[in-house]
Amino acid sequence: MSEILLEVHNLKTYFPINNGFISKKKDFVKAVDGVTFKLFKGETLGIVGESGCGKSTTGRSILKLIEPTSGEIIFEGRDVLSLSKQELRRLRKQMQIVFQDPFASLNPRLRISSILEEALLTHGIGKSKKERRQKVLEILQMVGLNAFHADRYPHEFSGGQRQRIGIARAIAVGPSLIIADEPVSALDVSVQAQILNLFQSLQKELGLTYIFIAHDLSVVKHISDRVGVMYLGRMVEFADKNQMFSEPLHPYTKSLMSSVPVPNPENKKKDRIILTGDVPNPANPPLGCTFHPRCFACMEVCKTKNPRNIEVKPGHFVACHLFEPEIMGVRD
Amino acid sequence: MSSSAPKLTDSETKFNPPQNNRDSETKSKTYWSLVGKRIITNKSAVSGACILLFFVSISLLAPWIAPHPVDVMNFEQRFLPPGGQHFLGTDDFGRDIFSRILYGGRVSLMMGLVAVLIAGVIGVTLGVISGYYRRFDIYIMQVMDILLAFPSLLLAIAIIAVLGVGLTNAMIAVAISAIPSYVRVVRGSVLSIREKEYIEAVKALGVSDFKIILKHVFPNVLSPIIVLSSLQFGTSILVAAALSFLGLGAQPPTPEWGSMAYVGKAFLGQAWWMSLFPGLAIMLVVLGFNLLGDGLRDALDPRQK
Repeated sequence: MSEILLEVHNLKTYFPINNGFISKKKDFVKAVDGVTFKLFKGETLGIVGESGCGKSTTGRSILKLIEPTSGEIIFEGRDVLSLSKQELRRLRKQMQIVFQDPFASLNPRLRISSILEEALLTHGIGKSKKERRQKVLEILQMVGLNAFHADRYPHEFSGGQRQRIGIARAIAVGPSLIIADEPVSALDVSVQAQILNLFQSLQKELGLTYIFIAHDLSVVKHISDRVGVMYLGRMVEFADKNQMFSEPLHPYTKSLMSSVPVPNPENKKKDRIILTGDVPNPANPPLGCTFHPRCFACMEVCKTKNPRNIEVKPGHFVACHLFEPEIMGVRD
Repeated sequence: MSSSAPKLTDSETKFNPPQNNRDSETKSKTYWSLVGKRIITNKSAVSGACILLFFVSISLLAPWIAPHPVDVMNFEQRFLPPGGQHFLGTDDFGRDIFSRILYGGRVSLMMGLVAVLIAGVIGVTLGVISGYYRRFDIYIMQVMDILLAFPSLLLAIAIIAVLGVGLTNAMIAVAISAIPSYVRVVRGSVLSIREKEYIEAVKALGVSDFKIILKHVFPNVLSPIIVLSSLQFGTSILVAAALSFLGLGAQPPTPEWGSMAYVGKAFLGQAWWMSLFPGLAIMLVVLGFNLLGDGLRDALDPRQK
């Protein structure tokens, strides 16, 4: 598990805001603003954060479905951003995506078999039609569907079944990395569990690596090995799952964790942190630490200086001035 | 917070599709077979189609059902009113109006067909390019907006002023004036389709743009194209007839509804049937296309699913 599959370094994806036809002045929405992390082979990295914090944009930028503004994405030793169109097409075999909305992610005009066959055809898997058909049926079996489903149209399936088809399309080309963009948030809770278990059994079977994007903390806790927390385009904390959930360090992570309802009414938590205000406009983020207007531990330095990523413990990164050695020294 | 997501046993989580489902034997219905059913039950579409079927078949069968030759003049039988040997009367050269309407249908329908085909091919291509490759969008749409600013008849007249009078040039003029509406409609549909996740999914698979357009974008914008073509067919026939009426399209002695109405205009006092019947034919055909188009729009509208 120590082999590095993917390295993302200082990834930035800005979207220009059009100020009209004539105006030359350009503003940007900084959807992803300097995200850095390493992904090991065979692990599941959960990315959490509230809506609009740039989780999905991060995922899509890694796949180059959205053109990143700057940064480095090293996949198996090759820089994705410097690849030619041909090379990128070949690399797509290695990285796939599963989408959130199972109703929008399948072309309504195509049978399931043609949707899956297209994936095989694009990468030259299976020489004859018969061989590809065999492969399609195999893949359907793997995701828990039946052979007779192959000749159905997407509208004949339930949400959970469609998500299985989406997963089937992703694993059809034999990728090593799958980016799952909120794959269960559109599903019922009971179906969520089925799909999550499917993800896990496929990971064991095929040795897959996942980037699992979600906003549901219990889902992330269930499936991830390591967790990254994002806020307004930045990765504010990044740690091993158990560490993240047992001792969150960043004030934002702390408040996120304390917002999760406790099922047992007797273990009532006393220290629920309630944040005030809203997520700032990403087109005009606050100076310094983007979280400082809502932070309960805000200091003077937070208002002016952007915190760097500090490795507090091995593998536990946090972007907060509270954990700068000199400030920690003063605190203690 | 819960200690972990609900743990389900393997048998519970493995989705077990029913093995002996009777559905599995019935063939699943394609999109178009469902649409076909809705079209057949749509009164407006069916009545429009019937009117058109009638006009298309009498035009095609004109050589067999026309009672008189269309271009033989007979000065003893000038201005005969409807009835008797000449079902719809005769014109100023003694030619049978009914026969001329049958043959005129060929010219008018052909003009509509050619104009819609030319406009459709060019307009859909430009619309797909404009909607899919956004960097060409502004240039294409600026030109189209300029063209759209003129009424189609006025634009067609302007084009004929450049190309010269004649049937072929009239068709080209009508086609060019119909292109902008195709571009607008197709561009709009492509814009909404290209943002769908299934397009992103095939992009992530590495499918080429050309294949994506052909296999995923085009089939999904086909319904609006069909509806627009039907309505545009009617408009094109009307504009073509108007051009002929103004003397810019079909030239005498070609039997064409618009030019027949134009010739009859001079004799409106004595021989009203010369203009009325070609005009009625134009009206009915355009009505047929509009009914069909409206019906198709209702049948193909995804919101009614």
